[in-house]
Parts: sequence; C-alpha cells; structure tokens
Amino acid sequence: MPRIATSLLKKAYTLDRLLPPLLRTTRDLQAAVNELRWLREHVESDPKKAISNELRARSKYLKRSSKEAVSNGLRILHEQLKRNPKKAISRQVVRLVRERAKGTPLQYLLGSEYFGDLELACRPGVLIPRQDTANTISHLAQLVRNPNNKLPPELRVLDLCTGSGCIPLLFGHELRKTRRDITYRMLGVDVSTKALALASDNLAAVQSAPGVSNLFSSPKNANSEAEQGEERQEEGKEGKVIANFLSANVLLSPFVAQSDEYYSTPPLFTALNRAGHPRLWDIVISNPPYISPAAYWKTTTRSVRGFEPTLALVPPPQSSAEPWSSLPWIPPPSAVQLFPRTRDGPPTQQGENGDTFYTPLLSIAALVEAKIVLLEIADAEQAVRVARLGKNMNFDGVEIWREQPDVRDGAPSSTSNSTTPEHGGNGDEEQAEGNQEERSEDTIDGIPIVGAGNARCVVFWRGVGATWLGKE
Amino acid sequence: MSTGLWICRTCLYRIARPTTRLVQWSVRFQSTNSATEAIPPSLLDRARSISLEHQKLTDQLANGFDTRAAKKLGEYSAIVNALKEWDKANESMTELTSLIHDPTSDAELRELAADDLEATKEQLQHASQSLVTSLVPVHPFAHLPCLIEIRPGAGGSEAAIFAGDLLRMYQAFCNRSGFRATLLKYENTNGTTEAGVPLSEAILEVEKENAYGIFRSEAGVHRVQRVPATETKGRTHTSAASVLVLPSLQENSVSQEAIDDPESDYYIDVKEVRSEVMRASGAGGQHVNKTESAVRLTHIPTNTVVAMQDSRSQMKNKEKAWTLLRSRVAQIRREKREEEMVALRRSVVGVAKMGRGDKVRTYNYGQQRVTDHRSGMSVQNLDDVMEGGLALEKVMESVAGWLMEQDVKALIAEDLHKKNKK
Repeated sequence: MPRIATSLLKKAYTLDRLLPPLLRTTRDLQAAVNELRWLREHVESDPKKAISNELRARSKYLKRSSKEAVSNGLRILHEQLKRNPKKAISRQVVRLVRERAKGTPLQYLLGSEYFGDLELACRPGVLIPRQDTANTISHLAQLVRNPNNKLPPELRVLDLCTGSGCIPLLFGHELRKTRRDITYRMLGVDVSTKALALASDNLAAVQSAPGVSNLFSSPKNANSEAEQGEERQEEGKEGKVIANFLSANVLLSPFVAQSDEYYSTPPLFTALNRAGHPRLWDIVISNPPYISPAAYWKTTTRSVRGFEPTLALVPPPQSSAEPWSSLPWIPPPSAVQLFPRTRDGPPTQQGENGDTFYTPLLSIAALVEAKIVLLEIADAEQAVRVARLGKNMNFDGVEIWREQPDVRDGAPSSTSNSTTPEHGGNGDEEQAEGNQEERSEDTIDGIPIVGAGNARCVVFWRGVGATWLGKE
Repeated sequence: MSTGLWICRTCLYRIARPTTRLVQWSVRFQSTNSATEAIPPSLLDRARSISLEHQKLTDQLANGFDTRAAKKLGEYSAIVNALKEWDKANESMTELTSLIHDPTSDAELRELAADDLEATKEQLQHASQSLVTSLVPVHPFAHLPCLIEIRPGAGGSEAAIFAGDLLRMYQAFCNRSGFRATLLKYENTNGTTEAGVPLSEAILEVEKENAYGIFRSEAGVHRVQRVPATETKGRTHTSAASVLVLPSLQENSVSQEAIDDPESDYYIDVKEVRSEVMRASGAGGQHVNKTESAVRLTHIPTNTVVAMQDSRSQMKNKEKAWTLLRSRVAQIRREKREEEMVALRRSVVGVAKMGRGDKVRTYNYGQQRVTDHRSGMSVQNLDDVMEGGLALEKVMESVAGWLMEQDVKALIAEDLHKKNKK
C-alpha cells in the first residue's frame, strides 16, 4: 500500500484534526471528509447514547477506587454531561474515528448500510451488504416485474447464504413497486445464527418502516401464514410479501453420515421439510462466499479481512461439498469440467479457487426447479467456470452480468476508478477519465456479458424464466 | 525675533484649511433610473393601445361575428374595464385636488373634498393595482419554489466571506418572512461543511410556492465595498459574489408527465446523461466494503455536471442529483429559447443586462448604503438589509417593480415588432 503523502496529511490536518487518522483507512481525502461528517451526524443524532458511552469509558478508570466513590463520581459526571452533552459527543466522535482508523468498517460503527432504497442494520459477525449486489438485485427485479410477464400468483424466491437478509428484503421491495397483484414468498437461508438474528431484525425494521409497512408480513408459523396469504388473495387482488429466514447448511448433502451439526443446522431440504416450507422455488439467488484463500490475502482490503466474518467470504475446501457430485442427477466432475486447465500453468487445485459453493447451489437450483438462478461471483474467470458448470446442468441459457447491468451497451456511462468527482458542479469542467476496461467485448468464451464494470454475477434461466428476463 | 510657541508645520496647514473639508459628505451624483410612479407609463401606454384595439374589435364584431376576434375581445375586456375604472378614479382625483387648491371655492366644500380625497385615493390605488395585475405577464416559473445558489466572485477570500454574509441575509429574510428554507449544499473554502469559514458554494432551497417569483430579481452579481476583515492596512476593497436563482423542480411541482414529455423543458433523455458512481479499483464485490456513495451526472449536450455525495445512500444521492440536473438543464433551455427575445428587448429598450451579467446591487459598508442599480433604489440602512429586514424587502420590491416595467416594455416592443413584420 503506498504511503500517504505528507502534504495530504498536512492538508487534512488543517481541515480537521480528525481527518489524518481516517486517511489511514480511506486513503482519499474526500472520502475521509464524508466519513467524518457521517460519523459526526451519527453521534449527534443520539446524544444520550454518547453520554452513556462516555460514562462507560470513564468508569474503567474509576475501578480502583471504592464503590461509593465510583458511583458518586459517575453521578456527578452524568449531571455534568447532561448539562453539556457536547463534550460527550466530541469524545464519542474521537472514539469512533480511532476505531475507523484501525480499519473497522464504517457500516459497523454506524450500525447500518444503505442497500438500494432500504437502510439495513449491520453488525459485526455478518457480512455488510454490498452496493454491487444491490445493483444486481434491482436490475433483476426490474426485469421480472415487467407488467407483461406472466408470473405465478405466488412467486417464490429462495436466497441461499442470505447474511443480513438484504437480498430477499430488497427484491421483495423492488418487485412490489409495479407488481402488487402477486404474493411474493421470500426465504433466506443461512448457516450462521448471528446472520439469522440480524436478518430477522432487519425484516422487523422493514416491516415497521413507513411506506413499506404493509408490504411485508412475516409469519411465526409458515403454514398458518400461507393460509392467511391465500385468504387475502381471494378477498382482493392485493398480494403481499411473505419473508422468512431459515437455518440450514447448503453444503451438507442429505446422503452423508449424519453428524452432530446435522440437527442444529440441517441440510437445506431437511430444513425446508421440517419448517413446512415448499420444496419448489421459482427464483434462486445466492451471494455465497466466493473468495479463494489466496485472493483473500491478496485482494481483500484491510477492513474486510480484519473485521468481516471469514465464514461469509472464503468457502471451505471443496471436499466438504464432494457428496453433492455423487448424486445421481448431477453429472460427474469430469463432464462438468469443474477445474478447467488454465492456458499456462497447472490445473487449479480443489478448493483453491473459491468455487466450493457453486456445485451445491446449482444442484439445489435444479432440484427446486428454479426458472431463474442468479449467483454472485468474484471475477470474470470464476464467472466462466460457473457458467460452464451450469451449462452441463440443462439450463436453457446463461449470461454474465457486470457491476452495473442496467447500463446498456454503447450508453454513455462509466465508472471512474476510485476518484471522487469534483464537488463544484460547474458546468464547464472537462471529463478526464474515459471508459476504461468496460464493454471491451460482448462475450467471454462464448458467454454473453452485459453491463459495465467488473463481472459480478452469472444468471441462468430455464423454460419460462427466459420470458421473465425478457429473453424472448 | 518673535518668540511664539513652536507649532508643527502640518498642524499649521491643518488650521489654515477650511473645516468643511474635514466632513465627508456622502452624496451620490448619479442615479440609475427614474423614480417609480404609481403606474409605470409604459404600462399605461399599453393599456391605452389595448383599449383602442378593443374599440376596433367591438366595431368589427358589430358588423359580423368572428370567433377569433371574440376570443381576443374576451381577453382584452378585463384590461379595458380596469383601465376605465382607473381613469374614473384618476379623474375624480384631479377634480378633487383642483377643488382643494382653488382659492375661490368654499371652505365647507373644501373640507368635504378633503374627506372625499382619502376614499378616492384608496380607490385609485385599488384600480391601478388591478390594472397592473391584468396587464403584466406572469413569469412561467413564478409559482415554483426556488433554489438560490451563492458563489463568491472576484475578490478572493473577501468575496467568499461576503458570499457567506449574503447566505445569512437570505436565510434571515426567509426566517422573517416565514418561508421554509433548507440548505441543500454548503461548502466552505476548505471543502468542508463547517460553518463560519468563508463560503465557496451554497445552495439554499426556499420551499414556498411562489418563491421563484419573489427571489428571481435577486439573480446577478452583488458587489460589496468595505474594509475586509482580512485587510491589515484599512483599505476599502471591492469584491463580488454571484447569486443564481433557479426554479426548483421538485416532484410535486413538476408533474411526471412534464418529465416524460419530450417537448417539456424538464425532459432529459436518459441516454444523454452519463452517470458515474464511485467504484473501488480492483476486485470489488466481497473483496471491499467501500463507503463512497458519490454520484456524478453529466448532461452531455449542455455539458452540465452535477455531483452529489452528501448522503450515505447512493440512491438518495442519485435522486438529488437528478432533481438538480433537471432544474439546471431546464433553466439553460429556457435561457436559450429566450435569447432571441432578450436580444430584441435589449435592442429596443436598452435594458441593463440581467442574469449573470453586470452587477445588480452594491453594498457599501463605508456609507452604510445599499443601492440597486436596476431600480435605482438606495437605502441607507445597510445593517437591516444584511439582517434580511424590511429594508431588504423594500429593495426587492423596487426591483420587482422595475422588472415588471421591463417586462411590459418588452411586451410593447414585441407587439411593435409583430406589427412591423405584418
């Protein structure tokens, strides 16, 4: 990582003495300025919390004194801070900046992240929703909600490895924008209990949010709610969103010897069965861990590596997914060409390319008879590998989407690499950066690729899914 | 040899000089415009010509029915009625005044006339007001809320300080008048949003229904003459700040049809806009957790650039940027379309330049004076103006009157132009 120029540090210091530490993480002055502003706004919005945090921090120093002295001191301090909360606020800001300088993601510090239109909660231990994923999901929703599409009265969407629950929540929210006649059944599946807790919190927050309040309904018991949903449909033509989260292990095959964890986080179909969820789903979406162990150390940023859960980023070695390929309806690995030879160099080793999840995911998609499958991937190479994998599983078509799939070919849109736009907005400034690596080709290894930016996901479709995506 | 007290030479000269020189008279030997009357003469001229035409049309209609003439007649009748009323009031006014000033008239009669005078005055005022409102064309955007953009002009940091003063002035004015004003964008010269540092750009949104009509006269270069805070030698500097007033096209003020309609000013083809979002270089996806949410939109045909990064939500930034881009582009289009008209007006009326041309107002701190160069209005109460008080309102009203007169003059010029063409 290049050194931060002294001149930049000096400039930052003259603006605000809290900016230089932020620069350690952001590397960019404008980003640091923005982050400092958001941190300040966050702390100022809740002075009570700032005061309580301040008291907690002070009580650490008072521990050695007697109990009475501590309680007295704290009471006096509390009075003082109540009268003048500014001090507590500024200290809290400094504390947060210090955390951020160490690399803690801003989203964890602020406790939320914007995902499309939604503001979702974020907590350590659960992957922070990414902007790219939001773009992809919004684009897919835009295609599917086309009023000309003939959708089933209940559209079922299965999100595997849901994390914070961002995908089902945003997808349902987006679909409801134009297609209100249909009931959407959303199911998010994850193996992590932390993730599931956060996902249900997010669901509750979305339900109580103004504007979307009556869109979502989450059943305590899936069966009873399913009946309710049907009743409501008969009454009027108004559908709704039924969102659920389920604890299951996507990688576990139902045919292997049952270990202890089988009962806590069972394989997907076992879990579906137990919770009384349907077995067939129309759309399968997944943003699984896809970073290879090598790339984890090389390409992830410090705040990702040090603070986000590895469980959500790096898949386990391939061996744990092996049983899937022994299923009778899955072609053997040789036919699937799981590990194609790279042009120069030895064949990639099992589990070293981060592809562990894709075989189980595609198998599940085949078993639930999914019409559309959308899988997020790391880069173009992985996209090609995954697309090949799917081609052998009898999908009708496959396509790779870039980070901004909604940008049409030839449209004058580009993304500038990590440069912040001038804040001036004067009409006469010249555009220095042009289109970079975008749209250099329309196919990769014969697989069509759309949008602008890096390759971000692979989309498969089968049967009626093609019309939903507007392919026919 | 005389043994008087020694007095320094400069003091001696000082005594010799006439005392009047010591006092500086703040006299301006210059005035930019004539004083405004109750009804601008140009308006009256137009009203008279319209009433003549009205007469002609009535005669024409007496001979045979014509739909177009009838329609025109209907349009004119309001003006003609107002004019008649005004004439009547004016006549009785002159009669009464002559009665009062006539030395031959009765004392009792004079008293009665004086009583009547008040009522007639009121009537006249009313009549002239209705005449003016019936004549003056309403600005097509006057009913909209507006955006006031303030940027420092020539004069370095002093200009930036003055720009901040102007922002506070408008905020205070809105406060006093009960308009809801929100700061859309505030940036000081350091590039941060901290208050108290010289301003580099601010956008104030006034969410009042006819705010554009009220504030549109404020657009232009505002000049300040004072000893800046940054000056060490006590010299007076002249600096300037520019104020741009745009109609604010919120979703509720512009209907969706207007945005979708290709004929409309607000319509922007999505293909003509390059939208840029920040993306981390390199892998992206799960590899990074970026916080950049900045959005930059470029309207390629007009090369209008709008950048927004205030919110953490990219969607919100995008929405804000689109709103701003729409209003900027609409303004540009309107200006373009009206350029011809403006050229025509200038050739006939010789109006001072509007918009971003010459200075429109001077704030002179040395003389505690604010002068508007368009209406020629000067007020001595600078502090009250800077606090957005009644003095500012007075100045703004005078400019509004001047603007109205210009509009009417231009209208007459256009009429003449049309007639000549025929």
